[in-house]
Amino acid sequence: MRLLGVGASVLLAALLSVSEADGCMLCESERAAEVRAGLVDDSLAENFTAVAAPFLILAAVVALSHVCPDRRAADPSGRDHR
Amino acid sequence: MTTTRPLITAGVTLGIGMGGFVDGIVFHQLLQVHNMVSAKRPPDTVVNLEINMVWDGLFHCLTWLATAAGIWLLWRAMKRSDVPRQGRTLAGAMIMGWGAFNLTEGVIDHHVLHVHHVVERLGPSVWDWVFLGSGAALMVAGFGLVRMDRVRAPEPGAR
Repeated sequence: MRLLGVGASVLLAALLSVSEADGCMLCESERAAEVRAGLVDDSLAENFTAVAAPFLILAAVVALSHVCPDRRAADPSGRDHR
Repeated sequence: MTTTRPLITAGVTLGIGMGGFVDGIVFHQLLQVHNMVSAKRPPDTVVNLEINMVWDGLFHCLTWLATAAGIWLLWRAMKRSDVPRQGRTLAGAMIMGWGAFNLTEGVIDHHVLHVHHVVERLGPSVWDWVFLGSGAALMVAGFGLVRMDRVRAPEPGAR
């Protein structure tokens, strides 16, 4: 999951570092500076949390539930006796 | 000895990713009722629209990664001889994942961080609660489907 965070950060950093010469639509735009400033403002951390937190939390829950012992696995019939 | 655990894990992970795609495609793009940070940056100027588009793009990157992880987990599960191929369990797990996504994303983004609301022009509204309710309903429905498969013993020789 740390990899996800790092990947998204690298993606955002790459996006913001592309120059006009690279032909990026966002960078060629007359509004590029304003858009970049809007992306990297005081709310950057909060916005990043808003995007990533649901996935990170769910991934942690799924991973935890996956490693918990499976009580049913011991029953060869696969029946649930609870 | 059989276990549906790997199948459920794969299904839930796929459901999280596909649930995210439903949100992004239906609400952000088709209906355009909100964007990722539309409560803070209302998309009423081109600049704000472009800012929201970038955050929407990052959101879709993560939904793509979740979907890819789900496919990988499903592939691994299908290679195991002790994992029964139960379509209802997989479908139920995917629906559970979709519901879990709606619940988690709804709580964090709509009710805690307030970065956007389901119908942005209304601000915090009943639609935010409907979204949470849909998440809970999907989780219950998905769990029910998984349970339906659990009470049935696998057919002899079935994988």
